[in-house]
Amino acid sequence: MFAHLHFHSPFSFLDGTGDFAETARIAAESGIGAIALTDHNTVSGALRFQRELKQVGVKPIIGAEVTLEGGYHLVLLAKDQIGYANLCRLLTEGWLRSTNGREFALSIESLRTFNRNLIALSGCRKGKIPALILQNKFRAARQAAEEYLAIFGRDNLFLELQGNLLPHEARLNKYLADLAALLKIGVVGTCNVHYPHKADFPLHDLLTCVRTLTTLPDLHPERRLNAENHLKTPEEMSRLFREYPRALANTALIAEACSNGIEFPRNIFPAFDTPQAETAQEFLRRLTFTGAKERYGQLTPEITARLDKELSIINQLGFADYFLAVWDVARFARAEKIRYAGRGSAADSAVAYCLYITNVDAIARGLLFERFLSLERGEKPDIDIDFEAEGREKVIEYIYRKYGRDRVATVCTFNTFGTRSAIRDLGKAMGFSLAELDRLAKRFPWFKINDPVEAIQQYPELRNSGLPFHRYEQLFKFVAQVSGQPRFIGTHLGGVVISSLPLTDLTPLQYGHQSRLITQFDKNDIEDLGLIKFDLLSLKTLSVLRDVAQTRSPETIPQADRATYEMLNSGETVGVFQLESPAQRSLQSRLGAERMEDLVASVALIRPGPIEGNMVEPYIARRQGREAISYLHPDLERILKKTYGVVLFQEQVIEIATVIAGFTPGEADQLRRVMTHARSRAEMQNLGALFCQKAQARGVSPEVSETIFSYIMGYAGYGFCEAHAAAFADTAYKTAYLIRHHPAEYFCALLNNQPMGFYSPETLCVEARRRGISILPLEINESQRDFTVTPAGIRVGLKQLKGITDQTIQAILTTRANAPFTSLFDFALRVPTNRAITENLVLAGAFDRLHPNRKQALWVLNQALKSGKATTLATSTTAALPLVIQSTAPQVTSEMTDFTRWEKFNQERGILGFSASRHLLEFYREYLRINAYATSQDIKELPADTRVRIAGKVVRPHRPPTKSGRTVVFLTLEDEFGLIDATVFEKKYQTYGHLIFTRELLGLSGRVQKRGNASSIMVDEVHDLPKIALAK
Amino acid sequence: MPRRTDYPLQVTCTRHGLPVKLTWPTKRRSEKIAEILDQWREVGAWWDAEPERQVYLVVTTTQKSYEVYQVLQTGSWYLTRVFD
Repeated sequence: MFAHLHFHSPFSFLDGTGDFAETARIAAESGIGAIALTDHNTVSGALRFQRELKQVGVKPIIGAEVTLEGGYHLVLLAKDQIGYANLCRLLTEGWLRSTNGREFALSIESLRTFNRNLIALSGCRKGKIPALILQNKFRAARQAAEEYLAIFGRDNLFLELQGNLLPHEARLNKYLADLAALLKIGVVGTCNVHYPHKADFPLHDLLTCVRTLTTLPDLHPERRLNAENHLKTPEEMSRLFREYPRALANTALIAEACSNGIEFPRNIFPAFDTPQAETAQEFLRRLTFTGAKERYGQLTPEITARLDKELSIINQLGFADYFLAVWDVARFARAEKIRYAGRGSAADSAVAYCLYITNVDAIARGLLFERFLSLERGEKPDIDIDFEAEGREKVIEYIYRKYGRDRVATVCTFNTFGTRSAIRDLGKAMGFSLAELDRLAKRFPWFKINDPVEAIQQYPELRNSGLPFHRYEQLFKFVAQVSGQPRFIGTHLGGVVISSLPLTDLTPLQYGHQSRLITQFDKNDIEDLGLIKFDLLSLKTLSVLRDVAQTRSPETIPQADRATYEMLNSGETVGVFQLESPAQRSLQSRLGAERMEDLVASVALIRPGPIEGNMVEPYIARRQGREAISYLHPDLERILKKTYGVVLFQEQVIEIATVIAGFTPGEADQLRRVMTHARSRAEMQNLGALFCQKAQARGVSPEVSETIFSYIMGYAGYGFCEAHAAAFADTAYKTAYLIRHHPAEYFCALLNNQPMGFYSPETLCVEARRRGISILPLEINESQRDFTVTPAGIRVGLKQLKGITDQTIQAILTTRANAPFTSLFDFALRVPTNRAITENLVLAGAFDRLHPNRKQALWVLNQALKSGKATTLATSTTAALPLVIQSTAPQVTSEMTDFTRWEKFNQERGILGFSASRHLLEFYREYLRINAYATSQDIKELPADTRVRIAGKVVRPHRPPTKSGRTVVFLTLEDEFGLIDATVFEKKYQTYGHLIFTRELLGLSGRVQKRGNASSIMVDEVHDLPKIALAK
Repeated sequence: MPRRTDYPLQVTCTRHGLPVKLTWPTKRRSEKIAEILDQWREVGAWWDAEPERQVYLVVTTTQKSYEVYQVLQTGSWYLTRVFD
């Protein structure tokens, strides 16, 4: 048996390529008995690696190639659990040496401390021993070997002979073999694998260029001389090491000495510190029923039975401590007045409702607990909680303090190559200019494309772009190869794990974003270590609610406010959480929502699945009583009544399988999950047969059982979790209420918490104006730090200014509090800031009241600075000293022509991100009026099928998947009066797609469509607006 | 100092493919190889379709050192460096 003991995967981040399944296949076919994963300073790929290899009967060994102080490499292999834990500790030590989290360096002392049950190999040419030999420093090489020998012992140290056909290799291997004989230690033969196939070398070479910031023709010591780092067969290795048969035999001995991968415990969540000597289960029960009395008042037998059932399942699965930990986090948030909302399938739990983790009454809604947790599935719970952005950090800090910094960490995430990033990175290494790559990359859609060459034919914005695609053939080939491979490790937005053991027993830790400690395993693998994750996410909508709470507390918002539902039914839902996209606006204008159930259904309906499944129209028709509802089986009525006979929620799938075929709820949820992930037709057919067999055993006819199964088979793949939809709908309703009754405060809060939501600040300003709220420009004597509501409208805040610092804002506010600014000169004398910020304030219009002529104001400033003793022409981020200017304002001797309206508009947009005073379309309005273009308001008054022309700023064109598979593009045009939605079908998209996805402004013609209370345009033709139309 | 050339050669090899004699076809000169000092494989500028080659650093019986290589795809041999 032969084992490859030095193998790099893509988790060596730009120093390895290929995938584990392919590696496993090659290994199995060529008779390789074991492979050791030895990525650079990480074990991130370990769990996926060992899963794939075990599937084909190849033994996985977990290790890493570590970088020592001085830059030398050393390969370490874990023999067993103890060795693995020591490896994790070593990797943690190496990463935590540097505070920026980017450099790894392990000390010899660390190796001495954590050496147990590890096997060391001397490494590649960057290993200390081979490096010294190549420098002819033989004595030093021997000393290094003796040092390692003292640490690892004779049985656990091997000198690595490599077969990569490099210069001086024969000589190096001979010296290594002689040294090993002298010191009586073993040798192993490896070939430092970095990719599975020899043909993968060009991509690996390109990735090396990306990593070293070089291009292909450049020389660099990291560039490999040849393509000999692939996964060689045992025969190839025999030929390479025919002079050293012992080197290959030892690979088998080492593989024997190592365990078959690493096994991890099932659940190592810490025991919750309960008061009054209660067990966790007792404490959880007490808290649940206390909360239940608060929530429900009277505890009916139904409520009690439900809570008892849930608690029983929670306790049997051993998750009482987990629930208590989450309850404690929610309790802390409430105590600190941090707004939060539990969501996801946790909202299926009445216990979670009683513990105030979620705000969805699972009992009243008839939600199935088994969708969240079941004995049959036996999986770990996954509770997601959204927090207002500022409060989330406080919550995380609380968790660190409570459980200990060595037992809490954030989960990592892997940034992977998408089409755009691959084009940019690989293209740069191939020598294309950045400008060219930028033009090319931006043409590709955001979603992942497996084959760029195919995409060029498929998408007109690529096909008709005029770009010379023949130049990029080789680049596209590499882009397709590298798609989805990891580029670097990052920090997951919300995933946190807490452990009863020190985390470094299970995973190395390293610094992530903002010096948070992150695990080396991501959310897909972290639970396989025995850890339970919960997601503590940041949701800016909660920050918006917090800001508006001063005017209207969300807790006091009445349910079923008629005016709110009327607004929703008009489709005017820009700014409403989850309901503001064009598709949602269209739905709301047709649905006729009257109650919360309608909003819950809305959240679930506008998703790829129901849209592709053509469920939206039947749902609306039935909701409005225009289509009769029938049920294939009487038992389906109770389950599907709330969704008018349409299977919309995952919970309904579970119930149907339970009621019709007699599955237990847990079995049914397993069925649902298997159907969601089922890969083969045969598997689906087997499931169908089982369902029908069980249904028929309960008296359901074969025809009916097959039809019902076809429904749930179709819906299971994309059905939404009702509990999650309900949690979101609750927040959506509150935001809708606030828009209807407190629009100024709400839009002000939206603008203060950007970036968030579907629309840009510019579009939000248009919507605010449409609702009669003025947006008041930046004003040096009026603006506060944030956007603020005034009797006259929403005043732009100082923080919106590009380049301004908190320091400068504070200085302005403090100085102004003494006396308002009387002129720009007065401002420059009194406020410590720099020229760039001052100029930006002028160009943004902040001094317009004092100096209506902005160009003149800049001239005054410039003159004053020139004549002063010194100037601080600092960068835009420093504001240390006042601008030193002359003591009296320069005299203006002649009137200067100010900037044009167009120039001012673009200056404001560039500095603030939008113009408070004008809209882009105003500059075209005269031309548009003369040429009979309708406005967004005009369209609303026109009857259906009217042919119109309209122009506007293009907002979020997108092409969601459709049932037919054909492309339909939805876009919104924004003018100074509002928004109008437009639909472009496949044929027109093929003709005009290159305009739709690349232009800021477009004109289009088509026919007015009326659907419900909303108007939209079915597009026939798209065109650019002529430049001469611009009235500057 | 080495002079760089890429001069086609005829090379006689052992049955394992190791060079034993170099022949300059146009000069009608041959030299026997006394020792292969080193050998390695190179890929070259693959993006310009440069072929893979096996490179040998040899010393001949006349005490001259040469760097020669064989293009793996075609089997042709070339002299690339002469060490005076």
